Amino acid sequence: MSQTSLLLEGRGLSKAFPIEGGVFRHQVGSVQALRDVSFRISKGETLAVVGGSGCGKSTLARIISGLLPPDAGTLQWDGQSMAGWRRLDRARRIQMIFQDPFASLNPKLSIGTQLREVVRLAGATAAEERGRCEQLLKSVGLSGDALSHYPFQFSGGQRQRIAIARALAMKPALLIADEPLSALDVTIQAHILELLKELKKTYALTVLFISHDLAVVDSFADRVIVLQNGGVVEEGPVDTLLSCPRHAHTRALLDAVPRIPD
Amino acid sequence: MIPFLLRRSLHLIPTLIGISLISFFLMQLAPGGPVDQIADMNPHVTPEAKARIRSDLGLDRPIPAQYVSWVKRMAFLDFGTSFTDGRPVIRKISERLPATILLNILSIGLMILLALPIGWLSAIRANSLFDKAMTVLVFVGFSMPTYALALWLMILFGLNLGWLPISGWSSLNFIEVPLWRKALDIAQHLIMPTLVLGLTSLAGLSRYARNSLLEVIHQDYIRAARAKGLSFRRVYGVHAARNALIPMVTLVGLMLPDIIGGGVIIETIFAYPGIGRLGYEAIMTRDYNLIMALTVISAALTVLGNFLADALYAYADPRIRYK
Ligand SMILES: Nc1ncnc2c1ncn2[C@@H]1O[C@H](COP(=O)(O)OP(=O)(O)OP(=O)(O)O)[C@@H](O)[C@H]1O
Ligand SMILES: [Mg+2]
Repeated sequence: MSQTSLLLEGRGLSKAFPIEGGVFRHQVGSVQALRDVSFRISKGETLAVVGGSGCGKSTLARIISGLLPPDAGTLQWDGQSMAGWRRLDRARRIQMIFQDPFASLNPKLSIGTQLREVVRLAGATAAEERGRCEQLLKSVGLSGDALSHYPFQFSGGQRQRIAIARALAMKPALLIADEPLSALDVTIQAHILELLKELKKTYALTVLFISHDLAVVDSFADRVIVLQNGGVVEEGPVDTLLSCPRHAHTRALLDAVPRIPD
Repeated sequence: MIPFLLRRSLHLIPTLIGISLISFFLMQLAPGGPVDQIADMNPHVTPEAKARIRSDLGLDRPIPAQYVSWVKRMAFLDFGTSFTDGRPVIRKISERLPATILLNILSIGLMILLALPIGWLSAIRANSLFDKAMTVLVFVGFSMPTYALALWLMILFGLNLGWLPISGWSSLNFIEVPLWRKALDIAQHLIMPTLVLGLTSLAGLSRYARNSLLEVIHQDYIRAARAKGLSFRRVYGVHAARNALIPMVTLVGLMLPDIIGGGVIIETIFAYPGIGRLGYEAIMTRDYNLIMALTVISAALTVLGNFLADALYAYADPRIRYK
């Protein structure tokens, strides 16, 4: 990848969470969720972040999408610092899909309400709103009828499609997918993965794909970073990293996945 | 929604029957009766006279028969007459009702007005100095006996500063003054009881508000709403509020029965002419009809409050609304 195509670069990102205890809930310690993490994502590539449970993958995703401030480190978008960015600046470029589609849609608001508010933020006029929402739903394989329905009326796979449509509404350049498949049934997983691959192509998306399923990573990602205890232990193109892992932790992750040879 | 409400209102029937049975028979078990009360006061009452009063009041009939005729009368809101002064119970209650309703609207309003912002700020700034200070203050209010706070306020504002009247709900010259002075007079009398009731009941709702918002703001759909780029107001005012506020409104629905029971101490201390004090007097004089009427109203309010809370909750929950 050439230097000019760099989209997002993180340098030295760290984040610790306080552990509170005692009667007055004072700080009794801290968890270092991320320690000195650096990474680069080029335009149009899919970067996978893998690692065991609790290694800091979601924390990284939240820092990039602006949901959490890092304790230290910087983010650069297209060579410019993101430090002064406002919520909307970020939302226009970076959107996120969450792991659990049963938790990531507001149960009390209709799909229409939840989509329309983003479409409006993205600049649609009142007249365009509905058409734009229907078009978004269509692009994830759902009909416009969904707009008048509520999350409880959909299956997990359908909800994840809605969540994807919601993320695309802002026409982001970077899509962060935080284990978007792991709450779904195996057959549904395959469908959603296909959808992501297709959308990546049509919308020319750059994807930060968080997963612990190395088979999925193998078929989707271009490059991989491996996290352990909040730190990057290995990084490289997906083919080399999966075929000859250098770090013991990567090997352990590989061994944990039953892989079907292709 | 409608089927749900119909089904829910069918549940009211056994509840009401149960409440009527329990309150009627508890009353039978309580020591002392209205006749003893009259007789104790007057040594000249002979056993025969006592028996005659009992039969006049219908108290000599078998208890199940008394229960049936009582339920029949209740069904038509016929609460009978007071044993102490012979006036219709319904009249005695309706005289006291306005004062109590006014006091409750004000104190519940004050409570909500304070509890929601305190709870929400505490949640948004969880574990901050503000949150901790409010936790302490709110629990001081919760643990403080109402009578203690009432007495301190009376000493401070009533006696030492002389700013506020300390008893009743109107001054002696009430009838003579013009309307605006009447309103001012009642307002002055209401300040302290309202403060005491509002402040001491703050704890529950504000803690509930804090915890329910805290729970909601850590949900992924709130993260998603923020990641979408929505404004702070839209995220908290719509996405979080829809989920966190509704359970609180139902909590307020459950406070409805407190209107009668909750005011006993405060109304007695401030000699406030409300339902609570009426109930206290009724119990002290074993005024059966009055006690039973208040019990029934209180029970009806409990049931009604529950029903309203459920209906509201159902309305806020699309899973029930769109079934
Ligand atoms: N808000 C928080 N408060 C306190 N600790 C947190 C918080 N969020 C994450 N942590 C801790 O930080 C560490 C990293 O969490 P994170 O959610 O980033 O892990 P993860 O790699 O996404 O795990 P998983 O695979 O289970 O999703 C964990 O030890 C977690 O307990
Ligand atoms: Mg995670």
